[in-house]
Amino acid sequence: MSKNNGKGDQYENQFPQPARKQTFSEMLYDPQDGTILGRTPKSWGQLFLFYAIFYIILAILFSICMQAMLSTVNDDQPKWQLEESLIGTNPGLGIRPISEETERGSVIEFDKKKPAEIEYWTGLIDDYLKDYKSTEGRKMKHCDFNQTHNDQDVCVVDETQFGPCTAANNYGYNQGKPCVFLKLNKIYGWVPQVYDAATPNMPEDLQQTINNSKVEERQKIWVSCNGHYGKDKEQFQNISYYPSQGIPSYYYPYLNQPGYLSPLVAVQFHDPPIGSLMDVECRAWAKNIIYSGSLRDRKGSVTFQFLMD
Amino acid sequence: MADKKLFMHTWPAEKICAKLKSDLTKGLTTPTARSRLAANGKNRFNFPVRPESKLRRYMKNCFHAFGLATILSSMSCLFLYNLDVEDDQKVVPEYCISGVVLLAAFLISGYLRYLQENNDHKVVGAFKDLMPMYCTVLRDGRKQIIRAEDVVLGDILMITYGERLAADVRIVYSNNLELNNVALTGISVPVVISLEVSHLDKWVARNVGFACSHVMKGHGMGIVIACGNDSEVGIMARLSMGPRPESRVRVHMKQVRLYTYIVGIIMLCGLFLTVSMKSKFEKMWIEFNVGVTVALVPLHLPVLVFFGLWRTKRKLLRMGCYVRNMEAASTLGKTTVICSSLIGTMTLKEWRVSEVYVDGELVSAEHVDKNDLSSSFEKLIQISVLCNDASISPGQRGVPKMLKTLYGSSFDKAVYKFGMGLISDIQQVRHSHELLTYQTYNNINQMHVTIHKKVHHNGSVKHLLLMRGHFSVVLNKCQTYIIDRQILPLDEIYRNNIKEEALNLVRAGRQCNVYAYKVLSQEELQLIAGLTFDFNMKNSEPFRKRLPEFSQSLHFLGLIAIYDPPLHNVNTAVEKCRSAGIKLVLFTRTDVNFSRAVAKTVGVIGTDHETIEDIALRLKIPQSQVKRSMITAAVIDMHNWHKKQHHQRWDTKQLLLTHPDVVFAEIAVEQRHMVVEVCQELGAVVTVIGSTVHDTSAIRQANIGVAEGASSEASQSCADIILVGSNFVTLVAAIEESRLLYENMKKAIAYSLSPLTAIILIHIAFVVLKIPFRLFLIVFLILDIFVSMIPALSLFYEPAEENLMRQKPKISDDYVLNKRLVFISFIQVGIIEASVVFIAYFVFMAYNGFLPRMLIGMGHAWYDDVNNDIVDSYGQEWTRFAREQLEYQVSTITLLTLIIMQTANLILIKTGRSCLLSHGFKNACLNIAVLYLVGFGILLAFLNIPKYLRISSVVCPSIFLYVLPSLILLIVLESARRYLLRLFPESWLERETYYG
Repeated sequence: MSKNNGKGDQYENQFPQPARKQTFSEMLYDPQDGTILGRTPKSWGQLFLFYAIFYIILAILFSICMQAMLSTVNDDQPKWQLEESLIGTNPGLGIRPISEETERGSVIEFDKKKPAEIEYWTGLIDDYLKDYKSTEGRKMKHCDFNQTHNDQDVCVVDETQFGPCTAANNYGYNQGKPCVFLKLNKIYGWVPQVYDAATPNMPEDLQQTINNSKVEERQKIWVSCNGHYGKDKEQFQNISYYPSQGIPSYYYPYLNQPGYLSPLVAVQFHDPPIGSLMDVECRAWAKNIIYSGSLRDRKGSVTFQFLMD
Repeated sequence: MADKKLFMHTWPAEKICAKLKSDLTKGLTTPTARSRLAANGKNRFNFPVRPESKLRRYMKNCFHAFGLATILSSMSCLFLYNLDVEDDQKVVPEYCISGVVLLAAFLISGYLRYLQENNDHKVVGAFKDLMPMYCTVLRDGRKQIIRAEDVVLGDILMITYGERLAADVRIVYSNNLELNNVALTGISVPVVISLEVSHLDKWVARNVGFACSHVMKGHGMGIVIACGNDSEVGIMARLSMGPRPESRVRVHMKQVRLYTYIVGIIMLCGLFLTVSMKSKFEKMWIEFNVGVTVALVPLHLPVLVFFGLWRTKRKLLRMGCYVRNMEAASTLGKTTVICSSLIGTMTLKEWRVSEVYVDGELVSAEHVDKNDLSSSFEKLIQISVLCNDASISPGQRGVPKMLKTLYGSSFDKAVYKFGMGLISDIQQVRHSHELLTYQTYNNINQMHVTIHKKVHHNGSVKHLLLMRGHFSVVLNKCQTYIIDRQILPLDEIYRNNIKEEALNLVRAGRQCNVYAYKVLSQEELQLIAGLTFDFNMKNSEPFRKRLPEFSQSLHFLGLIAIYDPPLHNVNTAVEKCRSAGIKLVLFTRTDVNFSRAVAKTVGVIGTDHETIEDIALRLKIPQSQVKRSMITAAVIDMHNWHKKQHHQRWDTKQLLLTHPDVVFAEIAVEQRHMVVEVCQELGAVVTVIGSTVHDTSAIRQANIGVAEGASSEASQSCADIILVGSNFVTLVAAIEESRLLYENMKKAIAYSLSPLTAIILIHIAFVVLKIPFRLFLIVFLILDIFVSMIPALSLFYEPAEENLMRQKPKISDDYVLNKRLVFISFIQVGIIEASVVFIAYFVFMAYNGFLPRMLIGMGHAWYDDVNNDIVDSYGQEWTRFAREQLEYQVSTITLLTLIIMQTANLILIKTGRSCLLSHGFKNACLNIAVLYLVGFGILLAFLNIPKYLRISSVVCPSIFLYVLPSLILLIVLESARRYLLRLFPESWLERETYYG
């Protein structure tokens, strides 16, 4: 047996050795092998080259797929419409003003004596109505029920028709008679099937309105607002709708016409209770608007809260 | 002092008594005993490590690895559910389900790890159970029954039949005492106690009774010379309690430890961040945080590991290899050294007659013709069955003659079996030669003598003395020999010839015995009859004592050699070990010549290898002149190594490093332990096969301890694996199986990790690109369990793609999650899968009206519950409800695309290098898994699933056209990679991308 103490010797029958454990600094840079993070610069280079080529191929493939997809979709109309698309045939009802601070939810809270608070809400409405005011350069038509309606026509939404709900009047907020605007979500190609007669499940005031209106003017998606819960219902007796308690059907269908604006109904609450949070529910009425009042999947209606001090 | 104690049994009883202040007739006095008990402690094994409670071990395993991150995720989910309950009357159980699933994952992972962990507390139990509860001692001159743990040094122990000994005793009085050390050695051969001092080694000397051994017969008395931890069993127990080397699975777990810490920190930071933000989207961000954690934590990993181990365990059990410690099923494949016993594991342990020397010539047993036997041959056979202890064990009616099991020593049995083939009725022969008295074979006198009375047909009576024994002993007693019915004087030349022949046979691994006989003269007969009271078997002791007087001037008749044939296929197995880079180190208790011969027959010393003795013999030079460089194999007689421990270690190291295989003959207990330790010092992963309590320490020290089938309780309870058939071939097959497990484990992990990139990228895109694309937690759990985990299990059924026993042990590259695997599954296959997911998402959203440029930067507005009019690219306004529907379908589409990609991936991943078509599709489980994936996809697409699972049926086949190009890319790229790997082995590509 050899006299040296055997350290560092290479034996023919040596056992396979586990990989040498590296210290942290060696892992970062090992001067012995010239490796940085376990690889020599050459090895890193090769690896980057390999994956660069691979990713370039992948990126090309990705963009080809995207281009192919974009070429199959039309710029003017969605590929899938109505039932085919998940947007469905049940347009949602929306209100304005709605706070941009998402934490505030759908609470409209103001003190009618504080102009700053009033200004916040009126500002929001102003913003929303800006499009409706600047009508220049748009090919629009003043529609009414007597005209024959062409699908491509864009009907004017006349902001002068909103009665007291005007910017000049601060939309009634400073008088404690706030206005909100109801709008129906735009769905490409959706046509309402209107109720031309009152149905028993409608609120009484709406039934009256329908019965009082002319037969040819009954081609409307009717709207009605009320307190959401039973106790709140009595608090909202005095509500007016401008220009009328419904959206005329000649605004439909929405076909992504240039300059198309959602028709609006201004709702004014004349004497909302002061100092308590009130839930208001507004509902749209048409045969093809299905209503579901449940909290998580609300259909055909919108709720919001008033808190007026 | 220690050395003195070691040889205390060689002292006369009086000296021991004096030393231990005891008295043979009165025993210890109670005060002395009490003070000794107080000084030395109780007579029981005190183990340094107290076994941990089950619950503690379970909890430890729960919080191992990703436990903390998982439990935090689970808690977050339950917190979210609680928020929901507070907020809302109508609660969806989504978070509750996720929370419970994560909690289950936490508990199950812990439980699986707990199950597969080696629970060695049983060893402690096994040793403790060996001790008796009570024993009888002599104290104050009276017999007293005391608890065994109160026995002290110097106590006089009364031993009677049926007991177990409570301590190591020097027997001072014996009446027919026989002890059985089966509990210690696993060998059920009783030791006849004699009072003479016969050997320095306690285990060979027959005047020592060991703690825990059974008293089979008789009664006696002994002085306690060692008790508790100092007793032989106690020393073994203590040696066996040392910490075990870590199993491979645990080592792998350690390798990812840093990563688990990082994940835990990310999880905690995320949790603090989201909770402190207090935004309206708090819930969403908590869910996001949990999502990120779950994406970073391979939840299914413990299940995969456990399943692989479990399956290998089952497979090994079918092969005759019971895996006690599941993690050993994985460690086994890493073996670089097998320390095995030569006899038993490599040979049949069933001795057969190989050669017969009669009439001056050596005849091979195979060539004996039953119908053409010379008279002396016949006589030899006759004598061999007469001078023989073997008999057919009762209760074997109807069993074919040659298959009957026999009682007796191995030599007797082999000869008896041989005789059965040549003599039609052995009982008849034995009957006609009535056995009068006998002396059984033992290692001291090395001969077996019987005296028979034979009555001839004519009524004349002849008394015969038959003898078999070691050639040197018997030949010296022979004066004549018989050849062709002639009696010739045995001269020195002929005697040497026979001795030479016998030595050659011994060198070839045979055990040979010489047979001789004589007809007793009348005087001799009368003397013997007088000594034994007319051949009363009970009074044979005086005859035995005066045996040498009668056994002179015998006729030499012949010689019978037996051998232990190697196991079927053992040569192939040894060959496999060699090609698999496994070194064989053999331990035997037998002598050098014999072990060398057996080592050669089983192939451990290959045909082209020579030991120093072989070379000396071949070149006819003394051993000292043999050049070192010529020696290629070593058979070492450890018995002669009377050197200091560190010298032994040094020599062993040199031997191991310079020889491919080493045989250690006549090895002692501590030497076994030492050899194993030295191997490990040299960086080896050692598998030790053992059977007795002696081996326990070596088995424990080894990385994988293997106990033979019928071995002692103690060695079985500390072994990782029990070889039911004690077959070396099985162990080699098991190693192959274990290597396959490692290969398949990597495949399964590579498969199950692939979708994680997509998940991680979705989370990144959600934050960086602010696109409304997120995977609900519950959807992710569905993906993790049903798409990643379950099909991955089928990969464990994959057959090997190349000969695993031709690879060297993967010691230097022992990483389950090696760099290549991570690269391939995360940034190659994973990226392709991620790109497909994004393509499918953008296409689906575009078809619904949201073009990609619209989606990027959408941000929070999408998730605002109040915002019911998100405008899409066509001016359509989407309510929250419609958007949610869209999200659910996106989840489904993400799942479906991942299922499609993973189906392809599953088929591709079957092979690491070889061609898929030539590898074949024989793995039925994997085929079922593919069908399962397809079925699961169809189910998702069409079934009406409860909404809280956040997925909804979706039918839009056109989207899947966009999946196709990437699918093809995946298939082409991965197939091409494998093709190139086959084409350019050991190239750059292999170094960087071959993880198998």
